[in-house]
Amino acid sequence: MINNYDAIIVGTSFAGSFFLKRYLQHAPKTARVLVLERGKHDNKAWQLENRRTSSIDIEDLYVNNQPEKEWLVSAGFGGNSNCWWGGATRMMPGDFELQTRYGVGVDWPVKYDELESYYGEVEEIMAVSGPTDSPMPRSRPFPLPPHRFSDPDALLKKAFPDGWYHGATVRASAPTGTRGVCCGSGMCELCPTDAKFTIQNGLAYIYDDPRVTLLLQAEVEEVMKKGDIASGVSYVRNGKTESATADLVILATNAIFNPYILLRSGITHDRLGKGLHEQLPVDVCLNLKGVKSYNGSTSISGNGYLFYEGEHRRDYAACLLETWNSPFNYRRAALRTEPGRWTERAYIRFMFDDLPRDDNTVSISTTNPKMPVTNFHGYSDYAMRGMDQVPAMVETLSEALPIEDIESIKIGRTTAHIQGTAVMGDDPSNSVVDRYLVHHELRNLLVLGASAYPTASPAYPTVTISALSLWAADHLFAKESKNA
Amino acid sequence: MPSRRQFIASIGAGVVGLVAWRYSVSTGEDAVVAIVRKRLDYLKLDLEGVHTFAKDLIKQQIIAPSKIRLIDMAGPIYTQISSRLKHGDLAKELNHGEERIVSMYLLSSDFFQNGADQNKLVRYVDFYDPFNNIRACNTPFVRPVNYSKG
Repeated sequence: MINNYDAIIVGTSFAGSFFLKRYLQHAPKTARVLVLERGKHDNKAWQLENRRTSSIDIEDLYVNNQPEKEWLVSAGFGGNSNCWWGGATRMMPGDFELQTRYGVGVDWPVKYDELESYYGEVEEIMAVSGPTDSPMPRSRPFPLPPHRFSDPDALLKKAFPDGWYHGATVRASAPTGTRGVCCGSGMCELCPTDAKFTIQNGLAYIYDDPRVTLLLQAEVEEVMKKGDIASGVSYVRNGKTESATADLVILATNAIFNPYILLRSGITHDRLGKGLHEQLPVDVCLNLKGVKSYNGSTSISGNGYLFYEGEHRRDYAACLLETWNSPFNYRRAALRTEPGRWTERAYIRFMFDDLPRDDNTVSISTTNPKMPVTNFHGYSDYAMRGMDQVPAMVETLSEALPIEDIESIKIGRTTAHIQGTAVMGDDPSNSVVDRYLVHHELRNLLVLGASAYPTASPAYPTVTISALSLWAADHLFAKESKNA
Repeated sequence: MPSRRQFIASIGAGVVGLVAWRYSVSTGEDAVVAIVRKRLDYLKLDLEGVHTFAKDLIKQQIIAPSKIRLIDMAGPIYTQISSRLKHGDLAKELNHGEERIVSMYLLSSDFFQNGADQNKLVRYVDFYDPFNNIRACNTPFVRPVNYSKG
């Protein structure tokens, strides 16, 4: 077997698959691409039968030193696309320019306008459902119509027309050809009707391309290098260590395994592994008077941007709101029990952006070097100051909603996003990859995915991950054609 | 004749023994039934069905069995305590736990299928499981999107 390829991609989730899709569009017919995936192909039938998205236990993937803070990953063909909830919001323009606009955090080395057309492409590929209006500039409409609001959403939209929107989501609002219509089952981490976009139901065909060799159950241990060139990877498969070489190496796992593999490879950087973060989630349960809830058409039926962009970002974190449209599954969700008032309740999640902290890290476990370890010591003061605003924010919402009382305010365990740890930037001294996600030192190594995020946005990260992968692949071939 | 100290010790041992016995024999089923009946005292419930629901809920292990057994162990005192508690974290947690149990019961019954008619006998159908093919798109409150109209 020839083990030399034009490109090796590690990981089959959003980052790797969107990169591969665009790579194949550019690459010659003779190109050879090796894709390595750690898990199996646990298909939908298997997932539903076993009530889980991966045959690998999360405890076998990494050591979590603070298990009360969850970092959700799903290993297998399609990666986290199997377990995501399908939130497909773009980041806001200000998220890319926190330092310039608000004097906090750092600017991203890429701007919203540069990614706008890529966002649009990703939305087409994923068949995203979204509003006819939008809180951010858009050059094209969403491919699918919006879902139906719940009654609380409708009231919020009426009171805050420029602050409340249908959610942008891959939980289909109309048939797509490969997915059914979301029926609001509330079990999105393992959608019982396969209505949400996943790599398995939306992009698996790219792996049938004759130029692609997909190896499952191949656990990448190291990126091999020769001087300042990445020469390939070594991986374990069927208990044997093997290696493959390539002109181009693409790490596209996630913000835990990207830095871990680099650290194991001795490709170090002062920033590498630092700044592990995600949004700070605060779950608020409101008892309503005379307004019925849970009657939208999908599991999260609205997004609030009232507290997102604005001068307050100088002082405290921006916030994206989401309306939970399901009275079960979720930890704090339940019906009321008073006669006739079973659904007079609104669950709203407040998601605050976070400024990464150096003491939140991914590193190599000292007891088992074959495992990464996460350390999380808390959110930034900036995010916590945002959380302090929740009661005032609820007061604002009461202009639209007849709030009887606040049933509970709780910090959630996770937003199921993992970010930071191999950040992008223009300055090689304080960033690991450049604006095209190319490693600053090893110029034929790309590190894709949310590990590149220098700051969190309150928005869900997935469409940005996917857009950046298309952007990175385009840049690669633009550079090659320039050099030719 | 036992000394005062021995007497107190034997009483203490007796109480501990009683609590341990109550805990060991409790199954949680009675606690779940009591909670459903207490919270839905305004409905006519098919009691046999409530017991079946309680067994099914415990099997699912959605709520920690140890918590339900503790409630069962407290027995009638629990109902008194939980009814009197109005404020504080414990009250909220108890309230939330009870609401989750009652939510699962109502979703597992024919109550919402019958238009939430409070005069009709409420019957347990089967444990609410959105992964079940029949149940998956049968959420009682969701209004489907009318995609033909955009």
